[in-house]
Formats: sequence, structure tokens, C-alpha cells
Amino acid sequence: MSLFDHERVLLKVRSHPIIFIVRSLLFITLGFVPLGLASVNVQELFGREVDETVLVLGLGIYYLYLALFLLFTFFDHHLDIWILTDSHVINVEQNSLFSRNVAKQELSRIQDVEAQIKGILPTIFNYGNVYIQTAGTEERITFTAVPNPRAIADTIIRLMDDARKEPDAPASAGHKL
Amino acid sequence: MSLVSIAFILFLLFAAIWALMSAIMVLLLIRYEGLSVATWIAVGLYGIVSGAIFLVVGSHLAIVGIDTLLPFISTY
Repeated sequence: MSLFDHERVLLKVRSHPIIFIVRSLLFITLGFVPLGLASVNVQELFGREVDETVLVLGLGIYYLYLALFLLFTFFDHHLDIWILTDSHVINVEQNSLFSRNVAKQELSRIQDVEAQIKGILPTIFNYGNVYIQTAGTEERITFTAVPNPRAIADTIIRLMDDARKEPDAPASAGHKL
Repeated sequence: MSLVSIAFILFLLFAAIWALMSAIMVLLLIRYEGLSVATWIAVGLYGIVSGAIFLVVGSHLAIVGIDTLLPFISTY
């Protein structure tokens, strides 16, 4: 999906980095599990003596796959992106390794924009969801866990108004967060 | 076949799957996002961590030797 010639990207937004950090902490914690097990007698754990080479190979695979899952967490976080242009809202969602959705909505078709900050962490770090309801039966677009959702919602509302006032001309530039 | 041999073959198998998945993820990241700073940092750190793991495992395997890992290979 490409942009029109006159179209300009005003805002590119991803989920708040704290989301990635919290997800990563799970894998980092799992990285310490073998160190905790090191204090346990391996012979007692498995009921027989385990060869050192087998342990090294097992731990090697364990840490390689932990790193792989950590990379996948980054992959999933980094490729979910919401783009706001002067005439469209574009939702790019990476569902899995080989599944990617790109949805585009005209600003003039947007009916309602709602910002939501809910919970302790979102309140502290000022992130939340922005819900965009469009005309017709299309599903609403959700900016999930984006930083500063109120400012993003305000920007969309301003651009929406501009798009309705001048449907053929690009909306006024310079909307900064 | 000894337990060490089975573990080594399984290691090779899982490492091959790991390498394939890693390559796919890195290529998709570069395809969709280009070589941005975040991609460079993530892929670079991933490379360093993975390299360190392979270094530790590889050095241990080098000490153990192929005769212990795959003793039956000498019969062919």
C-alpha cells in the first residue's frame, strides 16, 4: 500500500517501549533459571549422572532459543506501526512471522476518535489506546499502547476537521505532538 | 548410540532451525523497516549474544572432540 503523490507522513507511532521492556523481562528472567538450577544437584534432579557435554549442548539450545524469542518480541513490537498522513490513517499490524495486515482509512471518513489511558503503568508512563471509529461497517482502528494518546487523538481530530473543510486539498501541515 | 551423540545431533537439528528462523526474522525486519538504527542495534546485539553462545558451546565441543560426539562416524 503506497501513499498518494501529494500525501505527507505527519506521524509514525509504535507501541510504548515499556511494552517491549516488560515482555523482554520474561525472557531475561528465564535466562537466570539455569543459574538457579546450578545450585541444585543435577544428579538428584535427573536421577542419574548427566554428562557435562549434554548439559552444555542443552543449555546452548536453551539460550539460543531464548535469544530467538527475544528477537521475535522486538520483531512484533517494531513492525506494528500506525502512520498518520494528511489524508489517511494507516494501520500496519504484524500478526505473526508471515502474517501482516495493512489497513488504510481516509481521515474524512472518521467519525469518532477516543483516547484511553487505563491502569497503573499506562498512567505513570503516559501511554494508552487510541480508538478510531470510521463510517460504515469497517472495523475500528486501534492504536495500541501508544505514547501520549491524548495528543495523538487531538492531532487526528484536527486533521479530520481540516479534511472535511477542504476535501480536495491536503490538510494543513505542521501538526506536531 | 550414546547420549552425547543423540544430544549433539539434536543440537545440530535445533541450531539449524534456529538459524533459519533468525535469518527469516532479520530479512523481514530489513525488508519492512530497512536498516534503521533500532534494527541495527537489535540485530547487532542478537549477533553478539548468539556468537557468544556458539563460542562457549563450540569451544567445549572442540575439547571433547568428534570421536566422543560421533564415535560411529569413523566406521564409515
